[in-house]
Amino acid sequence: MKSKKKKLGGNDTRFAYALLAPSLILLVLLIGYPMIYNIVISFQDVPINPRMASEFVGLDNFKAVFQDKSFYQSVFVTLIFTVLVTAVSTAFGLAIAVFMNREFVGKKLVNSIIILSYVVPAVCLIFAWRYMFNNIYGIINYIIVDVLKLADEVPLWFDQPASAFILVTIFAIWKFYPYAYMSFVAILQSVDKSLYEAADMDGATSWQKFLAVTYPAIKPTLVTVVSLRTIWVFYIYTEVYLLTKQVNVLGVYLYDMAFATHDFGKAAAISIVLFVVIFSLVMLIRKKVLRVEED
Amino acid sequence: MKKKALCVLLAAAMVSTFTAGCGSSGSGKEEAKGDSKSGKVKIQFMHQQVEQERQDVVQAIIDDFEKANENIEVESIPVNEDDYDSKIVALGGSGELPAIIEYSQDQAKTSVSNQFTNLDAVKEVIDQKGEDSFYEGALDVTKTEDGSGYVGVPICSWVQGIWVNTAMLQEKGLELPENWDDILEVAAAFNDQANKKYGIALPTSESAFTEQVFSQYALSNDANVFDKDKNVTVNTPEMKEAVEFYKELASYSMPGSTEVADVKDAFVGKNTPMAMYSTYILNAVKEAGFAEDLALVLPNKKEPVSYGCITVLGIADGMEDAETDAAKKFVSFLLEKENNINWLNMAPGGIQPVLKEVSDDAAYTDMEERKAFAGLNDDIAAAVDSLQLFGTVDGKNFTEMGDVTNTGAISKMINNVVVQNADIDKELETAQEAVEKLIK
Repeated sequence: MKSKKKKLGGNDTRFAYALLAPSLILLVLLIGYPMIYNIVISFQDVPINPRMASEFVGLDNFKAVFQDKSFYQSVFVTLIFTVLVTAVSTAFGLAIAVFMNREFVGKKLVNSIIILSYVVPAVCLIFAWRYMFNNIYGIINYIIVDVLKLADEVPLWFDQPASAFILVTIFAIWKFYPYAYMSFVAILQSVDKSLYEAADMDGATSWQKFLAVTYPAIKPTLVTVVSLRTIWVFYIYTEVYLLTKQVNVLGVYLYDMAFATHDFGKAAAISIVLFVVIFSLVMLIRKKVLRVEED
Repeated sequence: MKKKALCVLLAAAMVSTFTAGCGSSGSGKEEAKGDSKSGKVKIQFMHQQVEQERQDVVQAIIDDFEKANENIEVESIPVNEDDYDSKIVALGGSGELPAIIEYSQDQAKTSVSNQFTNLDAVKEVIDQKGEDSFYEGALDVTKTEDGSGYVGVPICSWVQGIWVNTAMLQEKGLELPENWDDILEVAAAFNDQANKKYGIALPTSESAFTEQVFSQYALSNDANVFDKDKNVTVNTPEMKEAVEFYKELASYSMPGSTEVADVKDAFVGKNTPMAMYSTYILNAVKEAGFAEDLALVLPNKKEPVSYGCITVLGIADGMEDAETDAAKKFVSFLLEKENNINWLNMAPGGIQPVLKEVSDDAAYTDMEERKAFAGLNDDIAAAVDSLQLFGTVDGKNFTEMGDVTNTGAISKMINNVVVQNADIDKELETAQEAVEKLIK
């Protein structure tokens, strides 16, 4: 009887693999093949026309990337941008989630307003911001110069690297914090309320309650939110490129250096370098959090 | 057991859906590009006329063509302007380019360098029509790099220059500007930035528009990106003089990085008497009610220079002979006077003729929407003839100019000098190096 069961189990496993086979084949075709092809063309000079032969160029594409000063500047800007946007948008989303984790009149309306920036298409928000900060007829300049008379001349918001970086960072935090908020609200609703009541009876402060009850509950979600947001912000392109040309993050660098000239070999080389950087970064985050968990 | 059967059924359905999807795609392509069972030759025509009214015009031309050529079927493929470049690259990369493609001259040059275009077929169509039938400026900028052929068949154009509100100039007793100094004089007379009044509206952002406008000033001072031997000539005294002039002129324009909408709004709203813009501004001016006060002048230091875009039709390389012949016939059909006028009438004022016989034809000039600009016809025709472009030297069109534009080396230099107040010599050096790196 036992051996029959085991045999059935083996059959079931094979059957399960057979059923999974179409999906696995699709995964290999749609993810595995492009990844391997990307590595192959990073060593080639690739023409657009498939009837023209690709030329093997060895490490030339990688050399071109590593010898380019603007690549390192771009990595530096992107790392600062990623850390700022990920940290602040996560912290802000968490703070609002903790605040919203209670019943009050108009909660649904406030909830809708909070997630508005996340659900509205990025292009609409970008153009709204560009009009707000327009050098000629923007409402921000109108308020500063014409209404409050705080300055005689309008600052060129998106034309100066420093102000452009600050504005793009604020924009990204505002655009992305609802994702953290939604993730934390979902997990906070599952925390047993009696734990907070017990903490209250022990005379715990709000901060102590957060550390003892809330933080352990949200930690797995926090790791996921931070990891995903780090990856997404690291590769950001549309929001930055459409807002300003003064913030040269890696997505913009990749476009300017490779796609604008259809240099797919170089684009592939840059993407591999970026993959190594972001993979190391995410592993570092996970290792750090897991070590804290072990402690 | 039932669960197992259900699982098998679902997996089978998934696989069959996937394979069916692949199957239908393949057969669709076969039908669209090759010979159909009916014995007709089917070709595709990819263009940017996406608005419904324009699509109707294109379809009407196709219907007329099919009536006259019963063994040919033409499929219209309208593609949005924003997706056009990526569509060309994607289709070309997969060997699926349509038989006929509408290109700007820059896109056409890039396609030629990627060997997407049948240059012999293009030349045959132009020769058949006769080179003398086209405006010289239109043919000059569509020549191949070695000057022996053409990157596409010109079908229409738009040109760009300084649009002047003559009524505003008359109020201040000023004449139409004829050279660089005159332009500065007029701009200075109108400049009152505190009250949001500007001497001229110029683009200064890192964009192709800025490069296009600046190119007119540089070329009018004999400064080009390349010389006739394809040496990079960005960092030259002539170019420096043009950059300095542009910076001075931009001080009478709106602050910061200005783009297409800023320039158009300032001129149409009468915040400035002069603006650098293409013929696409005409309808907006007409709606604003001052079409009769409009004049077109060209930047002029050593010679007057207009910028413009010649829209060409490319014929794809690597097709069957029957498809190539069909494509040649259709492109030739679009060059026939009546059909070409129908094409131009899709956007009266915006697009302009490249065929001499069209400009004076009553069917073209007497169109109601075009009558308001009748006085500008000669100026616009002269601008098409004065067309000069960066990267076009002594009848040679260097295809690398497309990459220079795409990377924004020139517009970045202008933006840095004008908006960021960067050192002109340093920026010229940087731009020179950037362009040299591109053509290596």
